[in-house]
Amino acid sequence: MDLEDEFYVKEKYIETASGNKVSRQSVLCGSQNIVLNGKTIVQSECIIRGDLANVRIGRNCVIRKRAVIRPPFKKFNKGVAFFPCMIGDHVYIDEDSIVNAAQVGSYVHIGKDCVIGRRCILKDCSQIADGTVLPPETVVPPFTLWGGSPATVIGYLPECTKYLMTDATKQYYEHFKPGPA
Amino acid sequence: MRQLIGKLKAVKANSENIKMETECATILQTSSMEDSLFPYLGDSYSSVNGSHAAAMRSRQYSSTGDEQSDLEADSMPESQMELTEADVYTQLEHKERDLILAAELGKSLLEKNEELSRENERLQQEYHEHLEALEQEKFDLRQRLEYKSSECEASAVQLNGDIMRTQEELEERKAMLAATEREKTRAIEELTEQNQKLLTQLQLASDAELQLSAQVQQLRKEFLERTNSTNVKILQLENLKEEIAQGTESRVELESHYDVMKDETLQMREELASASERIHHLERQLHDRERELKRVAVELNDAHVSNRQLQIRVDELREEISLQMSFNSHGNSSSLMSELEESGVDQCEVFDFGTPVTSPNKDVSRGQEAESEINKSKNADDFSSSPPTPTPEQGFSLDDISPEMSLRCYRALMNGVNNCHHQLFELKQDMWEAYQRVETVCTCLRSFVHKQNVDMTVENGDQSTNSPTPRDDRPMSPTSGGSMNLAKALDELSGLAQEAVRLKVLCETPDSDIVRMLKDQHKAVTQERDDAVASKNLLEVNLARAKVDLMAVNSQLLEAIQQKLHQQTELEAWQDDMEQMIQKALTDRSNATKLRRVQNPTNEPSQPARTSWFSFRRTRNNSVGESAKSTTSSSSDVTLSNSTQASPASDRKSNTSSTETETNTSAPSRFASWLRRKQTPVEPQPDVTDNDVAPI
Repeated sequence: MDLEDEFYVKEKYIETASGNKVSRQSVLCGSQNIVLNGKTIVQSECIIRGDLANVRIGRNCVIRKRAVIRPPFKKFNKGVAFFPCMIGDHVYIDEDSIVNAAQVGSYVHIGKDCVIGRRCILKDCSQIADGTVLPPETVVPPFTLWGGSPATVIGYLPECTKYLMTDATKQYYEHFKPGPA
Repeated sequence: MRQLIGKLKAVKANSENIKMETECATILQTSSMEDSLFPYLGDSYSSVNGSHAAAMRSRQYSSTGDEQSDLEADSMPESQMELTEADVYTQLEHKERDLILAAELGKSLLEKNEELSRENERLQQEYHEHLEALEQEKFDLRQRLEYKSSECEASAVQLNGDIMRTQEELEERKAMLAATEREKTRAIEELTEQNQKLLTQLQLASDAELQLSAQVQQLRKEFLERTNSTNVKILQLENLKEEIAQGTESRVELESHYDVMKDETLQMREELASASERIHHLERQLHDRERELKRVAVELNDAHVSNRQLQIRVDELREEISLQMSFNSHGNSSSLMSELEESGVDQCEVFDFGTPVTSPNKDVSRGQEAESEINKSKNADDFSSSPPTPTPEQGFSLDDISPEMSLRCYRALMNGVNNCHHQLFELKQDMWEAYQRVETVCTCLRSFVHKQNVDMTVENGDQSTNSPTPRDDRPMSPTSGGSMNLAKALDELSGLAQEAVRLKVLCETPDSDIVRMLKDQHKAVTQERDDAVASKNLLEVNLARAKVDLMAVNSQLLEAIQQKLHQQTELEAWQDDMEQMIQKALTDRSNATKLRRVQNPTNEPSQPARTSWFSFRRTRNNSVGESAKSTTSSSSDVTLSNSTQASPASDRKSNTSSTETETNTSAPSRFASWLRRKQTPVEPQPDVTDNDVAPI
């Protein structure tokens, strides 16, 4: 089953050489510290705080509208230290979600209105349901579906999650086309 | 009782005698005791003592007693008074001594008396004991007497019973004797009756003889007829034998034909089995080929899949190469800023929120420091399990990457691309080969199927109406491989397919045609064989029947001849008897006539001859037994003849019994039959049927 085409205004997006599509209406702080590995879509009103620490996003990732990616911090005696935020390939972050995770593996799906706490680790092929609040420093194991506030395991994912996510992200990218002006 | 009383008296007398004797013995013992008591007395005194002892003995033996002895003693001293005075003293001393002796004697006598009384008591006691024993004995004897008397009475009663029984037995024996005598008389009567019966049987036997003679004549005629018929039958048998020989020859031929057909059927069956095996083999090969085709298809699919995957990988690698190329060409990091710069977009234009709160480098360095601290200090920290921090990517700046490194990376990537291309080329080659193989297999299968269809259509056309065969118009793709093995395999496959089709046709058709034809032939042959065997059996049965008839005729002929011989011997015996009888009668008559002529020359000579004849007859009959009392009552004869006519079996038995009696007493029976024949004229015998006379 193919996705429907989603058209965007070409003027409002910047397409880089590596195929990244970044909305002009997004907020990317410290872009020099932000690395997008290619074919990643960053939609409008997103906030990526590269000014706090390095943010590395893998390939074929989709960051929907109003999502916030913010490197996590830790308080020390001397002050506050920020850690880099690593996001793997084929990751789908839905609208209005806030990601403070230290590491997000590949093939991860984060639903709408989620809050991923500080220094959380989301392993590969995991999923966070809509409206989930993941406490800080939580480790989400592979092939698990987390939900609720505070988040708990509410289900398990199939072994084909990797392929499903790959297919989904690729299709999304393919169907994310510049619409008529 | 009297005897016992007498015995008792005798016993008493004996006991008294014994008592007396014992007393005497005791006295004698006392004398001996005196001797023992007074040893000191001298021989002078022995006379006195002897006289005293004699006096004592006389006192003891006499019934007078002690007084007489005293007198004798007084008389003795008076004669001796005239002796000297010196002697008086001595005599006085002697007297004193005598007195003392007398006292002692008296004492001893008293003691003796006591002893005797004691002895007497003992003897009385013994006597009582003896008496008691005798009484006991008497009682026992009385009891024994009573027992003996009772026994004698019982034996007498038993003997009386025995006598009675013996008398009864005697009576019974007498009765039995009477009964046996009665039985004897009855047996005699029965024997007489049997004799009569035997006589009648003799008569019947003579009748039977006549009948048998008639039968012999008839049998002769029949024999002649049967000999004629046997000649005819022998001729028929010869003809039948010839037919049998012909039938056997035809049977042998048919059997040989049957064997040949059997061999052919066996051969056909073997061929059929081999053909079915080949069909199975071909089917197996076909299955193998199909399996191979499937495997090749699966391999093809796998190759397609791997090709797709490799294509994807190639695309990915291309993208990566392009990325790397872009990265290397610009020399900047792959950060978003550099990309944006590359794409010619002003960062300030794009992102309004450009001013960071803190300097990023500072933050980064601080973060790195903190991380190192955490790695050092904390063990249970989550970062320890997290993948290694991307420190190289972190400092992905122009300062960090040297041109040599980029060149190396480029070369490595180029090598990877070349390898991928090479792998892709190999994969394509493999695919091409697999495709060729599949194609060759497909062409083989197509040709096989096409040939099979063609053969089938040809066969169908030959069988039915030679309809036009529908041919596969598809062009045969030439074998692209062109290898010799494949061609050979194809040829073999086609040959095998043709054979399979042929055998299939054979397998399908024989049920209808070949097998039916063979079965028909087999049936016909078996039918002919069965017919020949049946005719042979029929002829054998006819032959056996004819043989049985011949044997029956021969046996009848032999029986007739034997009967004839037997009759001839009997006839000769009768003739001898007759001659003897006539001679005897003639001699008797001549003697009688001579005697009469001597005594009474006037009497006629005919009468005594008759009486003699009659008497002779009587005597002969009596000599045979009382059975031949010549009281042949006509009524009993009639009943016997009726019974014989009613039961042929009994007639036969009677005949046999008559023959036995003939053997035992041949002369009188022959005579009787002869007499009967003489007395009664020969009646014409009725025709005897085969059932009555001639048993086969």
